[in-house]
Amino acid sequence: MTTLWTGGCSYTQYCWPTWADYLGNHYNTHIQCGKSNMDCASISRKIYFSDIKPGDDVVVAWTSFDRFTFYNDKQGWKGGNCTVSNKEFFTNHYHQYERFSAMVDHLYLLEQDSKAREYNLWHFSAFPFLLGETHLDVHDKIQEKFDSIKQQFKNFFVDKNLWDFRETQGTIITKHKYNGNDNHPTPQCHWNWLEQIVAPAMNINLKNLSDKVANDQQRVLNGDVS
Amino acid sequence: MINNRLITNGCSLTNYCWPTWADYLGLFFDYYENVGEAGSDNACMIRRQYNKVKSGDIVVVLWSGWNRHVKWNKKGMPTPKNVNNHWQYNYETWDKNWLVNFYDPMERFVSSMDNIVAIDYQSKVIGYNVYHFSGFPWLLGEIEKYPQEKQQEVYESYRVDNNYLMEQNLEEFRQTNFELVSSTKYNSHDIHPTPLCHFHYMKEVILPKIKEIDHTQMNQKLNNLEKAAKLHQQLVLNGESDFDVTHGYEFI
Repeated sequence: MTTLWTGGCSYTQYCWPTWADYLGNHYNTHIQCGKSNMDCASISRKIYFSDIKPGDDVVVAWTSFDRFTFYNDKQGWKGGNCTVSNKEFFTNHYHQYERFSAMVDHLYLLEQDSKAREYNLWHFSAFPFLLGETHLDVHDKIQEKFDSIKQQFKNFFVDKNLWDFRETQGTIITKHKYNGNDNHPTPQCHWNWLEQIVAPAMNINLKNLSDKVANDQQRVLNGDVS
Repeated sequence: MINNRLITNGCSLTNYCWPTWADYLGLFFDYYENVGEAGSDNACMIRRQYNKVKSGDIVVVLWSGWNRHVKWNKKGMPTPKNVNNHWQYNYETWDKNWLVNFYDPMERFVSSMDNIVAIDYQSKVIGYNVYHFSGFPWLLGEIEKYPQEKQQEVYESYRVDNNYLMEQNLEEFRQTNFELVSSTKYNSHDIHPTPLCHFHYMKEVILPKIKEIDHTQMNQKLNNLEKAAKLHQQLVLNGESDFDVTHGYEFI
């Protein structure tokens, strides 16, 4: 198969194998553009500035819309530190519709980019697409905007997000050198999401990686991460 | 007249309570629509344009200061659309707490570059021609005195056709040629470019770049338009506002 490019946040690139890494096993080349802490703007920029060729496959698990990124010299303007927890920012300067609209701008940018550069693009979501990481109810304007734009995207599978999928599988808390209370999806969850959600949407027949996944899962449960 | 549809976009430097460069340019086209809106940041601008454009259109955008970040109200919509309240619409940009604690020049700058490249890509996919100009010094916007480190490099990394962002911007053109303060019912100390400034900016900076226009046929029309612009200028200096670009033009 051709080259696979994957984009996203820590739900795509982490200190253990994710859905993206397992999917990458089915391609000649896998280039991981995902990075922990990215917001949607950084995710789209990382893809936009990549040397993607016509016919390549690009799969993005968009992160939550509510993130807002600040840049620093160390991480540069393509990365950055996002905030989802600064109380003053959220109280005085944040509005979910502005952030959601900004996310849609970036989805649209990549959708146009995929047409102009003739690569295949699939959209998935790491978090509940209309709620992000911080909201319990869908804002009326967000629902209205979503309904008006969803037809504009070709391979748009943002409804079965990885966050909710993880909860249906039974959330597992792990402990390792980076985090003593880590609720990121474990390798088995990533594989199941790939198998049940991503691969069918992409019409890909997965290889049997069950032994590898089981081994990865056990290592993570033992706190053995890279 | 040009058969293509003309769509213009921008902030109050494009759509205001008196004729702007966009309105004067629109007189060269059979169909003209101005989707510019006072107080807009660059993100709001692209959202207004996405569903307006069609194949064959000519689109001219006068991008606003990238420093802007529009505050959305609790109902989830930007506050007023009209010029009357555009400072409120755009007040987040000038909020001290925002500027001191959260405003990040590179975040704002790359966000605007993303907006521009999104429009550039859309133009290629749909099949229309878009021209990019800037209302303010492009690397400085409305706030900064000096470019950010690596900003030029970041700017050059974006591939955009018909890119005239670094050519003469309207604010510098105004300061050089027409530094006037006017007083209207909306603003008693208004430094927005006046109609004659807009006309000359359209004639000298924007019009020469529009490839679809036969420039050899334009002289008489430009002469007539300049007369109308002088009339509009006089009206504005007398405190008038809210008159159409065709005001006086039909008699010339």
